[in-house]
Amino acid sequence: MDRNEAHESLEVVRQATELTRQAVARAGTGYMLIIWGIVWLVGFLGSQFLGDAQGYLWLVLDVFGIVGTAVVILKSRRQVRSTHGKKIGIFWLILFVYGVLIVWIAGPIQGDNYLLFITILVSFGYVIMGLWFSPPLLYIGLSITALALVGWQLIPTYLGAWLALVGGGGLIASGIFILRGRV
Amino acid sequence: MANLDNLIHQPVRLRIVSSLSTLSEDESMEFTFLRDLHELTDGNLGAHLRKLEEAGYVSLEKTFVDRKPRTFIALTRKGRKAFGEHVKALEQILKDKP
Repeated sequence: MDRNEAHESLEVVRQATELTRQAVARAGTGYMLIIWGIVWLVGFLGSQFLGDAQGYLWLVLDVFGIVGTAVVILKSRRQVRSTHGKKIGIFWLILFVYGVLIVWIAGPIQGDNYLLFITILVSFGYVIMGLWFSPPLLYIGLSITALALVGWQLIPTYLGAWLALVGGGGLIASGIFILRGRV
Repeated sequence: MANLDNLIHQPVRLRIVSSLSTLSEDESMEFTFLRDLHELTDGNLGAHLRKLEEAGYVSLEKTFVDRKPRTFIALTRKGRKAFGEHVKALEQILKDKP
């Protein structure tokens, strides 16, 4: 085989792997990050600007997020099958339970600290999933954690808006990057 | 020194194995998804998968998803190793030959 043939073959490998990654990403993670990014963007902006008037906003958004996630999972399992799926679901359930336990034991968390707590807890979840099976999620989790803490320290009055931007916007941007195969 | 693998080297099989290599060891890809990804026919993909399965490079599992029969394909450890060696051999050719 000559150099040109070897180069062409490697190009075939590169194109096939990129095509596959993009298609698989569309099937799962990318869309889920966008869905939950929208939940955080709207939810945190509501917390910032509506205050007590936000009512059941977070409840409605969470239902949207859960339904959207279920649709994505149902569609993706027809295309790529993984033993990760059930484990991931169980992991998030356990994380939620631990979050409730922490709040119960440590005492009620008020106002903006509650928004920060949710952000850090979910980001921790992404960090664990990143270590477990998908490195990009590790960087997403760590970045959102760091940026959330920066906002908490520097602009506490606008924490909700900041979390909407770095958390919600960060998840949406990450989802788009994954769908485009950039990650 | 890595060797080229004549079975994997065929262009369509190279694309199939490259796609499957993007999955982790416990993941598998559905037949029609792989077929549509590379714009192949059922017969064409089936024939290539048979050859790869005979060599022990892929495993096929027939199951039901939403009550519909589906076939899921995974790259075996032997297939993953053979693909890795094949890519190394290609890269070596680029390094060695001017």
